[in-house]
Amino acid sequence: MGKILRTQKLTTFSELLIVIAVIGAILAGVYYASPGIRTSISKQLSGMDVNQTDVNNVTNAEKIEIPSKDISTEVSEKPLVRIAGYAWNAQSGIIVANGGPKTTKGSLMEKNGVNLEIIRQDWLSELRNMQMKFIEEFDKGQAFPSSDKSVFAVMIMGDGAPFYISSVQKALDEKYGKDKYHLQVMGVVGMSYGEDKLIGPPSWKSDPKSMKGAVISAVLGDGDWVTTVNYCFANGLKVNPDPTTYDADAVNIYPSENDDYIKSAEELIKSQTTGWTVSLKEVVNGKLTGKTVSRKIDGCATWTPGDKTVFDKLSGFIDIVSTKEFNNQMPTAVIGVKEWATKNPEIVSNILKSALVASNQIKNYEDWKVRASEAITDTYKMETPEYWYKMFKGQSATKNGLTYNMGGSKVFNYADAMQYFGLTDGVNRYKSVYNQVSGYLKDLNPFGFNENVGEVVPYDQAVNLFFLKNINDIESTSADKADYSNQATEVVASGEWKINFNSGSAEISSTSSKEVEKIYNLLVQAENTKLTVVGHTDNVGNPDGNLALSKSRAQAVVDYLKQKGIPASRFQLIDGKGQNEPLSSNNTPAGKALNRRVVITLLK
Amino acid sequence: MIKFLTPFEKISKSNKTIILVLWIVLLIAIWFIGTSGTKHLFPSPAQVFSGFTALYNEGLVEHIFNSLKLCFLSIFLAVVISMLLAYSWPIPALKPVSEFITKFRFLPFTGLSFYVALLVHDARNMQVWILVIFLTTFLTTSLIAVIKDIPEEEFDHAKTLKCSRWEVLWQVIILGRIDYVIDVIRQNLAIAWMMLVTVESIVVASGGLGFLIKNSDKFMNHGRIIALQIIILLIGLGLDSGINFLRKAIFRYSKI
Repeated sequence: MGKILRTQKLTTFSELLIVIAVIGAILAGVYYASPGIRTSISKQLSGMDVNQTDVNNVTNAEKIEIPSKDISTEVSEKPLVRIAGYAWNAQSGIIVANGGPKTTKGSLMEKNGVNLEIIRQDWLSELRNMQMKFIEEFDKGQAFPSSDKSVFAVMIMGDGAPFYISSVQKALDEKYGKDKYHLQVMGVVGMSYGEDKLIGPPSWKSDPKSMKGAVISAVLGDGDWVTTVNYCFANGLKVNPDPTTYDADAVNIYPSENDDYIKSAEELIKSQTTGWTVSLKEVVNGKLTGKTVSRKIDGCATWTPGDKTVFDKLSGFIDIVSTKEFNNQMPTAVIGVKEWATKNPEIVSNILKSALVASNQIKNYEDWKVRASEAITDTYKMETPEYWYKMFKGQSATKNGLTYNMGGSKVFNYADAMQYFGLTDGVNRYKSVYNQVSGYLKDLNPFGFNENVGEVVPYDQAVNLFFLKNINDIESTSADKADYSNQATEVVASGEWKINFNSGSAEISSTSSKEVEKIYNLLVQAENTKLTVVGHTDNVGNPDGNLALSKSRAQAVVDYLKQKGIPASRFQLIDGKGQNEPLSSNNTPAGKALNRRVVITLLK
Repeated sequence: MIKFLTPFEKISKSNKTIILVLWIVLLIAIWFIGTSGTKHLFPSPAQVFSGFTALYNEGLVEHIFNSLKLCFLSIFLAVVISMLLAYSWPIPALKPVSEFITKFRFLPFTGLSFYVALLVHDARNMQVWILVIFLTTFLTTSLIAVIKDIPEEEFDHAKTLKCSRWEVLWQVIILGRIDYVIDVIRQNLAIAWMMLVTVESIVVASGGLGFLIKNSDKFMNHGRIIALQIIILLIGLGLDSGINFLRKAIFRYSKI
């Protein structure tokens, strides 16, 4: 030691202490001088609602022969193309179109000359790596990369596409130079219809405001998370997406271990059964208080079989909201490599065509549903055909007097797919979903999206409908339509939006246009719900005038939404309450501002 | 020049330094040149540097301290527990317990966290105990190996000095091998440091380097990933040499 300090007068121990003290002081200096961990602030969007009715689906497609289970020899000479996806029931159509994981005899893929392999892969990062590997091989000059680890397309939930496409795009730009390769949504083949959901105590359904201060375990950025965030915003609740903080004034999201939706369910179970807690830094009004609080997990966002696990293990929990209410939120999107697809447009269109035709058979014929559940079991190598068949339809069960729902998927025929992108009725549902989630990524910044990726690939670049439009010679089918003919009674969500109007006028002010756009996007995602729109004013002016003004403001919101394509039959009630139901005191400008509002309620 | 290529050739310290510096310069040069075109496999130094700056501004230092805190606390607890287990190994009645614990190092943790949750009710403590459980199995194994390796002469020597059996345990095993214990900790630190990334992803609320690298990986931000890998590597190496320095400083005889 003496050699270090160049002195012989100190003992080894004293020298050691000096060395440790000096290093400690330097480290402490670095620690205090460096920037602290960033925390983000809870956000609130305007409210929204959803309602669900079963859709009428009458098509009379001619029955096609069910595919055999033997591997096709007819297409074995054709180049092999590969697609990977999660174990997800909403892919039933495309999988039965192939007859199973590999193209079988008599399958639609065979008839359309496609040699396709469908690979199950439950990890998003691995799906991404497989697609990156494909691009790597394609970049080296292979026309049809088909190594074990490469796929030209993946199937994921469409609301996850802004996250997926944007992050991969950044990596592609960095690796191959800007804009050399792109991923694009090339079509949709089905959707989650109840499978993905928010689970919590029944009070969250009867009184959504009681969710305030709750901690919900979820996979950030995932579709279940979107369902939860949509529900919060539809009910005018703030969301705190910061995994390190707790805001009693907002709904707090706790990110699940390993980004695993099953863990979301397990975290709720262990918190409720063992008292397991998470320590979070307390935030009040967007500022850290310096205190740490221990909180239980109060609810979770998960999908089948995570929901089944919760309902099996816990009592007193139900599904609060799901993709059945937000029925347009989660399509099964096929995301492919643009540069390869444009060289092989026939293959891509034929894959989509086969999937959409098979889906139409599933929608019409029971034995196609059964065959699809067998093909799914064969591809995913898990559970039984009976399980997939039941979960496709969705199940209800009752426990201690509480009814809850599990599962639920849909598949798309050609008309569904065209309608979903607004190609037949002008309402581009997917654009609403894409833009809404893009907004969430920027505003809520899950996992530091802004720092890591920065920008979202805009809808027009992320979606390419050429291959879908290119399909010809396909049976004419009809799309599922939302049915607004019945009176809806159950409130799904009720949000108080602060939409600014010019003083004394019923014209939506330009500052609120972004807010109204978000409401519109939410309403499109919850297409099956009916709506009530009620206007309120402050106490400036006379009561009669205010009553009329509140009605015309509600009407202004309705007119705006109608002009954007929301059908008139969807509005169950348009009303104004004038100044009669103030939320806050009219004695302060802030209170008055709170009272000037439009409440949109989603009913089913 | 030929001298530098001859096997077992002794060279001066300054020459050694020159060779090392040359290798580092070569490595950096390959990195710069290899990533200079538009297409490259590995992120360029500029991408890594911007990743590093962004991380620093988001509170990198605090994350590092979080990780270190978790690491040191776990190691401290694991050392206390494994020392008790290892020192009771020579006692026949307790021997099976210690040996049983060492066998657990083959168990993966997936699926077991639920049972730890039954005992530990706080997520942060759970992180600590998962690391402690892991480390204890490895540390106990290494410590028992140290004890097994003590030459018979040392025991005989103690016996000739009329030490009782308990005194032999104290003098030869506990006091006589304390410097080895520090070395064992040093070697197991690498396991703990590597495990940290996995453990921190269980409870992201407490932050840490594991949390940062996982987020960056999720978005494929390679600049940040490599910046974090470099940071984790450097801190790991720093800890390793720091502990080694302490061992040599405190137990000068262990240099022999």
